[in-house]
Amino acid sequence: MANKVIDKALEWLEDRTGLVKPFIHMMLHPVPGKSTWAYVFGTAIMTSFIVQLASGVALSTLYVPSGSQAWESIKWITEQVPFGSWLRATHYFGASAMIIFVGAHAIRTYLFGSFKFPRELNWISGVFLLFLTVAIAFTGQVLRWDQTAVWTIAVGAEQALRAPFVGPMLVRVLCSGDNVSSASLSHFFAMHVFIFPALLVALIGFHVWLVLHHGISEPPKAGKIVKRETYREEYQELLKKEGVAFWPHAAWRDAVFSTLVVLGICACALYFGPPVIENPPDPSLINAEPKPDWYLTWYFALLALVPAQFEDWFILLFPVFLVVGMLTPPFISNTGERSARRRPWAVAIVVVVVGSVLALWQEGVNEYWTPRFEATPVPKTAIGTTDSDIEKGAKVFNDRGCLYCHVISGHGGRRGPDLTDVGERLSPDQITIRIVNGGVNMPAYAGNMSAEELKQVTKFLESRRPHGLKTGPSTHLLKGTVPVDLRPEQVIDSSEVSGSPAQKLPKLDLAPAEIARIAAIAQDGMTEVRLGKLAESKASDPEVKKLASLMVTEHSAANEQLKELAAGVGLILPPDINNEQKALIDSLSELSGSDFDKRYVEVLMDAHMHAITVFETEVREGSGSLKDWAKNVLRTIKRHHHAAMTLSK
Amino acid sequence: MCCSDEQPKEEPKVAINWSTVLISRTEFLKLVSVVCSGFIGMIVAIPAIGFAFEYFLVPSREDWIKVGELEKFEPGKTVAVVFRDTTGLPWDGDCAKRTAWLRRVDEGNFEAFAVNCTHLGCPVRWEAGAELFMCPCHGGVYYSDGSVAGGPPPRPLHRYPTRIAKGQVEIKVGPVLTEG
Ligand code: FES
Repeated sequence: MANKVIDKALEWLEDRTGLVKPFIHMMLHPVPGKSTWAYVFGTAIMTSFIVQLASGVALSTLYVPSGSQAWESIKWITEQVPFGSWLRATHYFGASAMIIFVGAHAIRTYLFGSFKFPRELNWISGVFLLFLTVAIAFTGQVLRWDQTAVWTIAVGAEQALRAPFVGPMLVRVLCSGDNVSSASLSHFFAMHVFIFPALLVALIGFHVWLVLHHGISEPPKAGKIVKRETYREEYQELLKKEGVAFWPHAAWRDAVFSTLVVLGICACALYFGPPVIENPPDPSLINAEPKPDWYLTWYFALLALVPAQFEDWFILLFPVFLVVGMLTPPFISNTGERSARRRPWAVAIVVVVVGSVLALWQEGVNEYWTPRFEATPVPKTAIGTTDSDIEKGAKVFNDRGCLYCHVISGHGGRRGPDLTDVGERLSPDQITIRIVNGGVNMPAYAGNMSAEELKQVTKFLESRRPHGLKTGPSTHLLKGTVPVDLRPEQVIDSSEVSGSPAQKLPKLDLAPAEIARIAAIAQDGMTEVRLGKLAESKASDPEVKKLASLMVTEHSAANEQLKELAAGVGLILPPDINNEQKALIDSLSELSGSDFDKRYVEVLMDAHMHAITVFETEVREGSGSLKDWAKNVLRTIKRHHHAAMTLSK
Repeated sequence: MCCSDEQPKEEPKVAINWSTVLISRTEFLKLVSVVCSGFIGMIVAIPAIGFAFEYFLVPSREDWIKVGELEKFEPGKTVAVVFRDTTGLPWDGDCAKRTAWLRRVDEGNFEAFAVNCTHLGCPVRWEAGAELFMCPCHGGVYYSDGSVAGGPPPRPLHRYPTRIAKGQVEIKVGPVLTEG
């Protein structure tokens, strides 16, 4: 009886609307019988989207998209309104679920080759849905309108500004004006609640229409080839042979999985609660560390890790690359094998992409590239001595911000190298040079520390020897460049440091290798002069004496020129020769008579031989005036070498 | 059904046949419909889009903003000065507040810096102990004169022009974000 009534009603409805039959048809449309749990992600996205619509519309009834009130209204919603906190939490985890399942769905359809003929547009519309989902999520994060939100806009603006020509225009679009204001918020609001959802709904409609139109792609079989001419027929045959009605033979899995998704969202909402509302959106509070929500953490890490010289390109081209890359699969191969077993490249791509995203995500969570402003000072126990200079040095280390970037015994940030055992790795000179000159990521402290403090902090660092080791052999000369672990960006005259600490060094624009090379050349040159002076007084052979005085004059002249050129580019040369060179001079001064002459000429030959290679490298790889200088001096060096050789015979 | 016994006609086309648009009634009516639709679309869209992008129609402004009395600032010290963005909306509330770093170089000279890191725009902090600006995001570091001391920033900190007027220190603030 009841059934009859219902039947009648449906009949009437079909007669008046024509919608009942198509609906029934849609529900009962045949799907490949072997569809599995891999096919449930699409509906999982839909379900999460429904959670979003419901919670979002509800939240919008109290949320105020105004620069001065948004933050308060969210606080109010969270703390005062029944269900407010719950809705915010489900809205957040619903968004997270959407993003996760959009990803899973994309990976599934890619690995199953479902993007191939005739479903290319399924894939392409799906890609747009993916980016739209991220865009909605991102605009939603801004609507929280807390400190992070306002600074996120600033960060976005700075990236947009890198675009050539249109940069400033993009920034204005992003901020909806010249700066972060209420207008930015309102525009983000309109995008988040009207424009993007409307687009999303339209695109979802299109996407689902295509799924119905072409039918759900059958699970791939290795060896079964997609051919344009035959695919459709084969698919229809498959449906005839082993097709089952979507409702309920496939739909039940969707329903069960979606229930799990909703339960998962609720569980997270219950357990974690809504995203914290941070400090108010007051850009004058500058102790902010803007960070995107979790789904963009990997991108945030990538931005932090990309080398500076590629950064502009990266910021501009990477988003383009992402979109284009995602769109290409159906263009590259839309026929052929669908099974992942026969598509090793597809599997490799998925593994690499997922692996890199996870790795970057991990990096982004650790954030070792940020200074740790909240680091606790190195405690007395870790300093481990009562030597007053060392203690003062530790204080300098704490006070001057060294701590933010360097760890000592577990205290401090990880932006720069761990200095717990620096005393075992670097000599005091090397430590001083480093502090005074800085490096790529480290400021030159020359102008920011008094000579006294520099001495103290060096002493402190030198005393960092947890294993009680001494530093290794110090700098080598006549045999190469400054040791690799030093890699000085600039080499400094320490007498100048102690003399006038306030003088600041300009930032240097030379490759580290060249700096090291020039530093070594300078020390070589000084050594030549000293040796020459020694030989002028000690040599017995007048010929050797003559050669020695030639060395003194010519090398002195070259040294002077080099000093001037170096100063011109902001490079400060080592004040003195290194210990090995000193030892060499000492050993020579102990000799006398013809022994001395012989050894001196030997040393000259050796040193000039070596110098020729170093100078040739500079001529090849050096830059600017230093290179030209090296070219000139190289001739002199060769002449010296020749002279020494003649004498030795 | 009504037309089944008419002469077999050409398949009707949706697109306008431009060569017969002034001869054929059908084609002309298509044109009329398209023009009307386009007109409605324009009437609706132009003001809406113009409104949504109104900021392109108003010129950017620069203003001299008072940030404090001259005596308040000690020579050699860098301090944060807070002011309101004059270009904002009346209901901006706190989000129109801005900070700049102000350094009194000597008696009569001031330097003012935007807080935005030139790398990716995070707010840099003045670390008085180290006498450096440090960026919390990727460890960009600047010297007290705003020049880059280390890390990823490509340019020195943005400088605001400064002046002293009637015992007040003023900085000239424009659209910071778009100027970088
Ligand atoms: S934003 Fe300042 S270092 Fe990246």
